Amino acid sequence: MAKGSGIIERSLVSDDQIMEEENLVMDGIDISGRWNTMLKSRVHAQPKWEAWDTVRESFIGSSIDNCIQCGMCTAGCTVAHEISEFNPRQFIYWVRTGRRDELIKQADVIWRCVGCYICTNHCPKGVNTAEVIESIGQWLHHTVPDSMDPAYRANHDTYRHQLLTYGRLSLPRLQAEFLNRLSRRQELFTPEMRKTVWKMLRDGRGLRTLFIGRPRHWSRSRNVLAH
Amino acid sequence: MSQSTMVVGGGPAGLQAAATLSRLGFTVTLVEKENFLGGAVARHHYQVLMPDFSSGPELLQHLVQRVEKAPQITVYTGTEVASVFESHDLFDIELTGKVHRNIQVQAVVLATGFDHFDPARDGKYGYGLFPDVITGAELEDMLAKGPIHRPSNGASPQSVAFIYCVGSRDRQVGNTYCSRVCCAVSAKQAMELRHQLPKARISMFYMDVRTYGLWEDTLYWRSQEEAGVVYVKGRIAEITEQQGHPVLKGEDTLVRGPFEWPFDLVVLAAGMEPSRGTRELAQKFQVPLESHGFIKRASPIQNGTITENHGIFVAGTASGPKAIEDSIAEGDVAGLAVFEYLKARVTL
Repeated sequence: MAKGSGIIERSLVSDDQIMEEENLVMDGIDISGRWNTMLKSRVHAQPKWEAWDTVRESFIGSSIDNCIQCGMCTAGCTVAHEISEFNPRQFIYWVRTGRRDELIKQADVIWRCVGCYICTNHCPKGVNTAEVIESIGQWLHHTVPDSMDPAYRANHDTYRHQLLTYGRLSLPRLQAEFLNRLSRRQELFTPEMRKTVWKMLRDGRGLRTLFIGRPRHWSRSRNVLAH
Repeated sequence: MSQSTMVVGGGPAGLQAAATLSRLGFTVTLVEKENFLGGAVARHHYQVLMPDFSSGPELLQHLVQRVEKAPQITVYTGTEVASVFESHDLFDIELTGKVHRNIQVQAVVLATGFDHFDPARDGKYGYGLFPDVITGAELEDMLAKGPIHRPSNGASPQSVAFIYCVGSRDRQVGNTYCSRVCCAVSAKQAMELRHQLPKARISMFYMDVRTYGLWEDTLYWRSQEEAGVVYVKGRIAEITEQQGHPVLKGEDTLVRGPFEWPFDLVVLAAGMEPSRGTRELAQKFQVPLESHGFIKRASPIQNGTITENHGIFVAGTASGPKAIEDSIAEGDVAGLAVFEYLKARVTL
């Protein structure tokens, strides 16, 4: 039986409100299925503040306290016009009102930001919105790492790894590592890819990719970044 | 013979009106029903004033000393107006209280001020029931007299909520107007709290934030940017108590969805109402009231201190909610309006 099927006006209740155990025995009595159906209250009663503390103390998120919730960020947002869950104003509000539960639901969506910085440029209060959102995303990534879409996570990890290892970024290397992390290595060997590789070997880009080198004393900078 | 005038009410507006009238050459009788001068500033011991964080006691000292030093001003504290008899533009006023006397004056400035809305009249806030629910005026007292504490157990609060529009903008309690200063005063108080409570969560529950004019950035923005105060949009429907903490029940209208959040201390930003004195004296001086119960101004745009009864002027919050700075400015305007009125009569 489908969850919540015992509720008569089922369409009035959203899926994630329904609590129901398929198999449950309590004090020797079988109360499986509809006999233990409960509805979660919509009331938010336990604000959690770690996100706010983390974001406002971070370098890129420190302007979060400037926000007056006018909505110009979301109004101009490239992504919000396509994806309704992506709402920078709301992310900031949730952080400041301790809505950890709501934020966690958006742990993947928040990375859809394309980095156009329209929000930052629009903000009448001088919030660096794009980077505040980045900071919230980092907190989410740290708090619920598994909630990020595998492709976004692979992308994130690839950039981080390449930068820390070589101190510089190379598109072919990024592409290779990204696909490798996703177990999509075979996509490196398509006919178009082969053509590209030949071209790169001929014009010298191939060598530059293979021998990427490092900036002088990169390990010192890396330590700072990694810290 | 110098012309004689009376100022009723010894708050900022009345003190300023008396000082101005005496400088313009009038004899002034200043009548105050309390035993002290200074109005609400003195009653609640305002230490730090909105909007410029200047000193309340210093302002009082300045206003009161000027009145007490002027030989043309007679101050009667603990005294009220018992009755008024008007004849041929002369007011025969009977005083009662500490001083029993009949005084004849040619012009009267009513500066009878406001009373704070009593939140006990609006049961949903649990004011009077829960010790940790206090008013903004009580918070001013607390700021003046000692450390910020929870009245229930004396502990230092780790979370403070301010509730805006208590007794204002609410048909249910009969006050459909905005009290103008509570938003800004609450922001000021939150910033003061931040100095004493560096770690506390301070949240403001508002319907609109009306820190109008120059107060937008100096109070509203600053309270967020420098004091880390959070503004939550939604009026509080009810305060209950759980495990000794007031719990605020409301709807977060910016993200939808009900909440019930506990706080250590709740401050009600109670609005202004026409004071009892304002209502009584309006009747005695036969000055009509406007629809909210404040003294009606004959032509507010041309001169905000002229009432519909010749010879009776109004200054300060008796004619509507106002900040201290505006009340003092109106005291001056009322003085000049009296000057114009009496001077015109002499020359005609």
